[in-house]
Amino acid sequence: MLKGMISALALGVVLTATASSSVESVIADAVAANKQAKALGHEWNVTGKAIKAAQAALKAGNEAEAMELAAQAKYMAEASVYQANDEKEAWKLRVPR
Amino acid sequence: MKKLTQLGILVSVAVSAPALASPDQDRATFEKFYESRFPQVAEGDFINGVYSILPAAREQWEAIEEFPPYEVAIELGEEIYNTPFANGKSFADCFDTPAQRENYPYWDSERGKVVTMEAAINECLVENGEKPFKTKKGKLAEVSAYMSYESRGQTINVQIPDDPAALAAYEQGKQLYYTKNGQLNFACSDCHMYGSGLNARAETMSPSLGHTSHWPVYRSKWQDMGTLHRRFAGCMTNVRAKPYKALGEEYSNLEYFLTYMSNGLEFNGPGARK
Repeated sequence: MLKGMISALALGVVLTATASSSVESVIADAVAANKQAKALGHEWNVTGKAIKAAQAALKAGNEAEAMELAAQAKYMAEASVYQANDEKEAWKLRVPR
Repeated sequence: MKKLTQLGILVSVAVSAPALASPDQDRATFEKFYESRFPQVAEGDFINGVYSILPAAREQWEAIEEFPPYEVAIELGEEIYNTPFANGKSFADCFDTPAQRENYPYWDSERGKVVTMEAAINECLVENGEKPFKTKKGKLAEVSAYMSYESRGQTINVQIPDDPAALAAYEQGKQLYYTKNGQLNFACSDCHMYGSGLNARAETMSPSLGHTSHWPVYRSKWQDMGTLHRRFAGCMTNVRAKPYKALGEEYSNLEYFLTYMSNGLEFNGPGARK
């Protein structure tokens, strides 16, 4: 019985650590992509806030919320990089003829 | 296959050709675009921004212009302009006359950059051992308001010298104007060219022709004066993009392009806007 409880607790600790490091990894991806967007002159003003909110939720121990916010931040950061790369040529189509 | 490749090259050239047009060709097309879109606007009236296309709003604006909210800024700007720096010199030692709008923005070939009038005001301060003004409002907007007022009636005549670097700066400004940015995925041209005259919520979007003629502006939304670069930053924030630095390269090049597009129109700043 005691062994079973110890195993369950250990598993819980491992799962929590895994979830936490997974959120950290998504946040790191978001930070890296946002940095790239900034270098391309296409940083969105919502991305940094989402990254900060994810970091705050993680610090408060709210893993699920942190993961959701981190995923949003990563999506926005990557979308802004996509926009920057796409616009390198697409802008020309808007020049009137 | 060969024919397909040739067609591909032709399409590619046709699409990219307008982006590679000369500044003169760009300006003619730009002007024609607005003249066709708003045939009712009298020649030269685009300097009045959205009021050139909205007769009802124009009446209210003209009433505001009888007691213009930027008047105090002009007076404060004149005082600052004439107050000696710690070294005994003043702005009059940097500018032969406060009526300087027609000389800006210009391409400084020695330094390889576009210089705006607001940048020149701050450079004058630094050259004389003073701290530069904050870049979007306050004293910079006041001195700019005074100098713009003294420049009223001057003709916009931006030059792009025969210098690849000057042309590159112009092209960068042009690219910025037509490039989508921010989470809302808008380019300046989406609102102020293809959307001009249409509404964004309750506001009508102004045409870009003449956009740079009337700065700085007293904006009711701000309850304050602001420079053109303050407005650029506001637009970027509205589309959820991180704004560039006021007086930095991006906005200076954008000002260079946009002001060149309005060559031949009059400077009529400072202005009052909603």
